[in-house]
Parts: sequence; C-alpha cells; structure tokens
Amino acid sequence: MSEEQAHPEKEEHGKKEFTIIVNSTPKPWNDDEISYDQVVKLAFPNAAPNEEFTVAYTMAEGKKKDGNLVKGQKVRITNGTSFDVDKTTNS
Amino acid sequence: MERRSMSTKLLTLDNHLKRLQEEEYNVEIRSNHLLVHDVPYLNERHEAKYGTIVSTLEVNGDVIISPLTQHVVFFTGEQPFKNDGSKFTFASPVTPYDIIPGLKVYFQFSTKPSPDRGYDNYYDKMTRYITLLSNEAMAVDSNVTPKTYATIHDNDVDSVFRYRDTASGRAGISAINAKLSSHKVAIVGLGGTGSYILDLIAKTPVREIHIYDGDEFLQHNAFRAPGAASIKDLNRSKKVHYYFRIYSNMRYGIIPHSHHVDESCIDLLKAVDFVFLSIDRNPIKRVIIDKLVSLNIPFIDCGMGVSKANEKLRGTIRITSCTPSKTDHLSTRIKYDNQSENEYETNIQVADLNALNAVFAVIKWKKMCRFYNDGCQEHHMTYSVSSNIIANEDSLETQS
Repeated sequence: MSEEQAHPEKEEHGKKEFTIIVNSTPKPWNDDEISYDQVVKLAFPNAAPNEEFTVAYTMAEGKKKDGNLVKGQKVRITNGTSFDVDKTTNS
Repeated sequence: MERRSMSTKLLTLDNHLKRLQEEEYNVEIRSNHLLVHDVPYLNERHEAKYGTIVSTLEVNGDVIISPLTQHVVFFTGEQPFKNDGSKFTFASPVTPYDIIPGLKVYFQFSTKPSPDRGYDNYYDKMTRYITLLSNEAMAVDSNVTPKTYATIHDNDVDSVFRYRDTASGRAGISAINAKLSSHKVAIVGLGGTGSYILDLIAKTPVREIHIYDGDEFLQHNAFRAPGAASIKDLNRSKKVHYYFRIYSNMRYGIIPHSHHVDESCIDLLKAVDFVFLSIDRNPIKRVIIDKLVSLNIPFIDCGMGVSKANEKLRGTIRITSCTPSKTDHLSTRIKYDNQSENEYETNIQVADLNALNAVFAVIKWKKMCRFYNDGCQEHHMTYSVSSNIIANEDSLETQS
C-alpha cells in the first residue's frame, strides 16, 4: 500500500485551477494531485492529527477512477473529481 | 383443522417427541413450546371441536429435559366437557393471553398420574391430556381423531428451519445454498446494521447465529430495524431477546447473548467460524479484532458515516473483510476513533443505509463461503451515497 501504487506517475505539478467536490461541496484546488491529509483538511479543517477518516474518491484522473485513500497516499485529480470523507464508525 | 409445517430437529432428537409424531399427532415446536394441534374435545353444546394443547418445553441445548415438574398444559379451545354433560374438573379458565405470538390460550389443565409424581416424558404428558379430551369427543362423533398429522414430513432432519426452505428449492439453488449450512456465525452488535445482518443470515441455513448486544430494544431502534415492531414490543426487553423471539418464528439455532463483547467474554467467539462486527466506535473493537486475527477467525467490519451538506444527507458505507490470508490492510482501513466529541461528529443513521451496509456485508460473506463467485476479491469496499460509486480496495491480486 505504498504511495506509488496510488499515484504511479510523478509528473511536474502544473499551476492549474481545478474544482473538486469534497463531501458534496465544490472546492477549488490548485494542483493536479491531492493527498489524504489535504482532502481531510478540506473536509474538516479542525480535525485533530490522530483522527481517522475513510476517504473515498471517484472520477479521478488516471487508470484507477474510484478508490480509497489512506494516510500517505495521493491521487491525481481533475475537474469534478469527488471525495467523500467520513468517519465510518457507526452501525 | 390446522396443518402446520413443523420442524423436525428436536422431534427427531427426542424419542418421546418422535413417538408423538410417529403416532400422527399434529405436533409442532414453536417458541420453546410443544404444541399438539387438532385435539378433539366436546364443548358445552355437546359438539366435537378441535383445540391445541400447549406445553412449555424445557430444552437445554438440543436436550429435552423431563417435564416431571411441569405437569400443567394450556388449551386454546373452550371449556371441555364429558359425554355425560359434566365438566372436566382439571380444566380451569385463565385470563386469555398469547402464550406464544399469535396463539391465545383460554384454559389451563392440571392433572397428574399420581398426586406425588408428574410425567416422566412429553409423550406421556401430552397423550394423557389428548386421550382424556378426545375420547369424549369420539364417543359423540366417530369421525374425529386427534391423529391428523398424516401429511408430508420434512425429510431434511438437519434443517434449522421450522418449515422447509422452498425458496431455494424453487430457484434450483439448494445445493449452492447448502454450502452455508455448516457455518456458525456471530453478529456482534444489533444496532441498525446488525439487525439487518441478522434478518438476512436468519434466512440462510447456517447452523448457529450468536447475537451479542447488551442494549434494550427501544422506540428509536424500531425505526432502524427490519420488520415492524408493535408498541407491545417496546417493553424494554433486551435487543437480543426481541430478535431471538422474532427470528425463532422461522428457525432454530439463534443463540442470544444479552451482553456486549468485552475482554471478559471474548473467548466466546471461539465458538463460531465467522464474525460480523456491527458496533459503533468503541475501544473494545480493537480488542475484538486483534483477538479474531490471532484466532484466525475471518470477519467483516461494517461502518457508516453520514453528515448533512446543504440540508441534504451524504455519506459513506464501509465494509472491511479479513481472512487469515489477508490481514495487512486492517490498520489503515478500520477506523477505531477515540470517542472525541467534535462539531462534525455525527451519529446520523438511516434504516436504508443500515440495510445496505448489511446487504454488502452478507453478500461478501457469501462470496467467502463460495456461494457467490468473487471475481474482485476485494477486502475493503466503500459505497459513496452521493456519487453512487462502489470503490474496491485490497484485493488479493494486488497484494505484493
């Protein structure tokens, strides 16, 4: 479960402006990739560092369109890439 | 006449019950009671009628305990009379009540073979009452008989069901369904998700279903539970007892444990070969998971998170699976959380999402049992409600 698996290509980062969806809310993002920590911060700016979330993405750029990010992983994004960040701890 | 399909398991295990059946009495075991239907008796107007005699059934595991101390039975009919017009004095009216769901009794009968001794077995007990009543009715009408159970018996003596699973037979998947039959599963936590898991597992032929929960079944639970609880069900009984009663209408093998799983009782999980974990965030979850991994017991951990966004709900359902051959994903996938009370902490749950979480969990378990083909082999999946996307992770193939 390495960083490379989630993001095999390390390209130079273009200064682009994207709109991604985080928990059903549009957010601007100025990079073509985003990490687990960055998505969590967009969703929950006040989350404590030790708090754990399930981060699901869809419509990502690259071969794997849909997946989950865990700490340490990144994913390439494009306009409309959508994230759901939740504590999936309720039954 | 009532002709109920019947379970055969206890009937075949206990010789005295088996004898009742072999002599074609219309015997049924339901909700821990022994029922003999179609017992003819004479009512006040000298008419031959039929009633059901009901006895409690003392069972310990699969062993029937002698009814020596329980000589009384209950009766669904009217006051029984003798052919000479006199009342049976052993019959006394009771305030009518449902002795088991849907079966109201009106009389209690009390007579024993001798004043200082009860009945040695259920055959002696039931036939004594049947004979006393039906002899009087047969004296009036020679066509009546208590031996009405000449119907088709279920030859599947191992069935856990109280009546035959005709759904699998009609679909032609009985053999595939049988792959599930040897299993013993536990459901830890009977909240919204756990109760729907039980609903689905109860309809499979698994041998045992251990249900664990220390909480009571309350009004708000009814809105996130399968079926439709009546207001009478909201009587502060434990969830496990409520569900045990409901699902025992259909099958045997449900074992209620009216406590949460913690360090003191975690070894109880050794009795099963699969565990569904459907508990809220709780420090004990890590203890349970570590124990299951050390015991090589496969499990599925369920969870959901739902929040409001622009006055609508959105969220994620998660199903994480663990087998002895795949455990390295647990540390990143399963969220333990430490009960922190943040502004965004929610406990929003909705019955359909609980049900969906349960359905995904049960489908995955059936894949593990080779009931369904598993082409993905994922050990972790999420369903995002808003984007309507299932994401699969941790498949065995990508494991390096």
